[in-house]
Amino acid sequence: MLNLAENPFREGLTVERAAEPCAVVIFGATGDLTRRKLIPALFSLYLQGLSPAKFAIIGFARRPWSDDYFREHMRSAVLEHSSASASNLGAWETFARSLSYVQSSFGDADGYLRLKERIAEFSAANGVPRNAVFYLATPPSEYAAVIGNLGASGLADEDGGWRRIIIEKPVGTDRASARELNSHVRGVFPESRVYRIDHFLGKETVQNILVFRFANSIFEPLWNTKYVDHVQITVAESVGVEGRGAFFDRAGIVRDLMQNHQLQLLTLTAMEPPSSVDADAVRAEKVKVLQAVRPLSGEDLVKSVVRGQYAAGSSQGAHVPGYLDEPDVAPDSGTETFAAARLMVDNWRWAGVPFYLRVGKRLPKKVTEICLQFKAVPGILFGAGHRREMTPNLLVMRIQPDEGISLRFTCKEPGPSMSLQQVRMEFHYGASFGAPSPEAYERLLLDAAIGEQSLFAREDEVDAAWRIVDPMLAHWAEHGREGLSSYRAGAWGPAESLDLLRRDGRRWRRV
Amino acid sequence: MPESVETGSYPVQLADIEGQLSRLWGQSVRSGGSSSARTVVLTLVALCRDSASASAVSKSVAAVAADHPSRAIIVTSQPGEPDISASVSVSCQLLGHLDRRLCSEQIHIEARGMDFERIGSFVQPLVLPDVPLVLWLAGSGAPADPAFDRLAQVCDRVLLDMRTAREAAAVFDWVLGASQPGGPAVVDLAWVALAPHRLAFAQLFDPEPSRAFVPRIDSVTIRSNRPGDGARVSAEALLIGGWIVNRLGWGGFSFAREDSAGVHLTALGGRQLHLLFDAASPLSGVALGAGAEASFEANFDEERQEALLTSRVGAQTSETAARLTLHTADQVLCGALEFSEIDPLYARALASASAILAQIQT
Repeated sequence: MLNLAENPFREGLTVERAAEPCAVVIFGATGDLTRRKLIPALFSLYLQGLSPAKFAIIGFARRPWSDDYFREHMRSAVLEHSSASASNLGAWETFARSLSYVQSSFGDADGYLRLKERIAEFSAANGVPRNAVFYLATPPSEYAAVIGNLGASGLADEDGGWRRIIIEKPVGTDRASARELNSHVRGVFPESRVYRIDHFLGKETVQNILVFRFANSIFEPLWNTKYVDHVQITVAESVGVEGRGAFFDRAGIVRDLMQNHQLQLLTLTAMEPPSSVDADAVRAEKVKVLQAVRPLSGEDLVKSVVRGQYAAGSSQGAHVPGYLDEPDVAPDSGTETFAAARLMVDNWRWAGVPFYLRVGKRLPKKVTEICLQFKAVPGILFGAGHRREMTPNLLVMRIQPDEGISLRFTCKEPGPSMSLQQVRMEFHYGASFGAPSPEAYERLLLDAAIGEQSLFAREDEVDAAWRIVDPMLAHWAEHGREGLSSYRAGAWGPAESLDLLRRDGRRWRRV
Repeated sequence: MPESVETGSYPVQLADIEGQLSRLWGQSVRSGGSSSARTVVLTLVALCRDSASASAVSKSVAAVAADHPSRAIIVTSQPGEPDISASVSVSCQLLGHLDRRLCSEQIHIEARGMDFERIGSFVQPLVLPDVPLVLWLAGSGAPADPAFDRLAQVCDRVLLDMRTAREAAAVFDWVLGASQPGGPAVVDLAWVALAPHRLAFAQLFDPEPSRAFVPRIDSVTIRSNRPGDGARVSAEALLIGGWIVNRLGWGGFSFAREDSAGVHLTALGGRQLHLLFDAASPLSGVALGAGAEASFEANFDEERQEALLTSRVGAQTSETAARLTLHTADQVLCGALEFSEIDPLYARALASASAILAQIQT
């Protein structure tokens, strides 16, 4: 029997993940995100045959651009930011026919009515439902206005087609503001139609953490307090604020990277196996981890968290200014550019296993990785009297760059004496899979158009993440620059970061 | 640093193949400025009819090494007095996005006057442990030889190309026979190459109003050229036709007539299948009709890599151009190596194509 709900000719095709015809509306279409990421990603999906059979891309922003100017501007964006573009200008001409522009301020109700007409025209011209994805690529300060107007204009109503909204991080600046925003969103879009995007989750290697853990039988039995001594999660950037001084000085590294990227890595590392790979099953397990993280407060918070700010130093062989000398940064700023924390996940699996997190700017290199240090073997056989110390096994999942997995173990050096040596067994994605991974935005835009929410943060997940970092932010806000350590640009953070582990008889892994 | 580095091809005795490869790997590591990665995800045994075919296979294997680094054993089998010679090479490519070289190894064996029994006897010791063994029939269909069947049965996958098969019916039968539980997964490069056409065609039925007509489709027309090598229908037309009628649930074909335009069959329920030979390419278009109510047509313009899709429902007609991103031969090979088991849709399409072909040939 043919199932009319599905297209029988789609079955078994490599491109099973096909989106239905839809309009993609980008609020903030004249901004940097649209130019650098969104349009190149949409064009790349088109080149790969992953776009819907019929689609429209409607830019919505204040600047007085015409359809043609918008197309021309986006063409140059693709030439500049998409590796797939140069030899595909013929395809661009076809793709560009789908682009149009609505000029309006985000608070102008009339602009939303014109947008509504544009979507209806697309639907009527192509004989397809009025499906639409709304992408908020505006500054967060505009979110409320856009969401409110989408509700007031009826654009959020699923009248003749589905309607979804994609919200860029950051979702709020603290727990209270996140709750306020989420409440606002909930008043217009139910959670099943909300896609809170963190492009980090679109990276292949982040997704591979679950595959590595749950598709191999040899690791999971060791993945617990019985065998793991501690976990280190490093998110290091070698760059400074890079022209984002005004934004970063309001946000700080915890809001910018720890509350989202780094805690996502923690949840994927610590979560229990989900009952399925469905969005809600995966997200429910992630939320449980966040909820199990022991809240930090009082003396415990002071002992378990370190914050720092970079001073002048060297990066990549060049002298670089300190944070306070960066453009658009307040000269007496107390904003942290480095943070390290010792978190405990109070559940059966991880009882007593510290998770050390460090994140920072102007560190010696750009690297993101998760390292599990296993407990050392008893030093009975190869302990005293044998050359080289006994060192524990390390399992490292490198997220970027040079994505891969390595395992450090001990072996005997060739020769007559019983000398031990540390060796590494390495797997590099680049070696086994020579083809480069797709851009994170491609994957996430496609998922949103399909209706797959696994790689997007759920409201309770965002809330649980803010619950962890809120006390730190509140404490620092209260104390200003007091307790803010300085580190030289190009160093691995302040000395207090080393002490955080040293007190526990441990040290940061050299990455 | 060149983008590709070859160690050169070294003649070698069969017994010393592994030793010579080890030496070449050592050279490769020492000569490379970038770090070299030796990763092997499969053993690929390619059976070639002549040196030209072997040369093409060698290039393709090197081209897909980034996605499927393999030990390739390329066997050129020709008639003549029994004789065998071998050479080995290691080929490394610089990965542009990483400062790393990806290396793969090739073993070339020229076998004269050898049957499949003997070919199997020198190939099997060279097969790597713990990775899939893929047998590629390069440039030929499956030979009717029990020794070949035995060789195929120890493989995990068999790659063939229906487009190069001289006796399509015999190959259909072989594939359907080999694709039993426990047998190798048969992957047809012709089927993989048709994926863009299938994808473009499928888009005709993405809109829900069009899907509603699927049960009412009563005619299918496939347009192709008339093959010049004695075959009645191109492999592409047969496979796409088999796929569409299988998806529609049609069966019970009988020959209706043949005229200057092509061959016409009738399926159960009086449905019509037309194979028209009025095109210049092996597959130029597909048209489906649902009485006078609706029609759906896909015309493939391979030169422009575009499919023109036309849907007519009642008085309303819509036209759209879909991308037809054709795969190169290397991309087809790459796609074929992704399959770890026979594509069930291919098996069903093949069964329908076989039924159609049986009617045409009678």
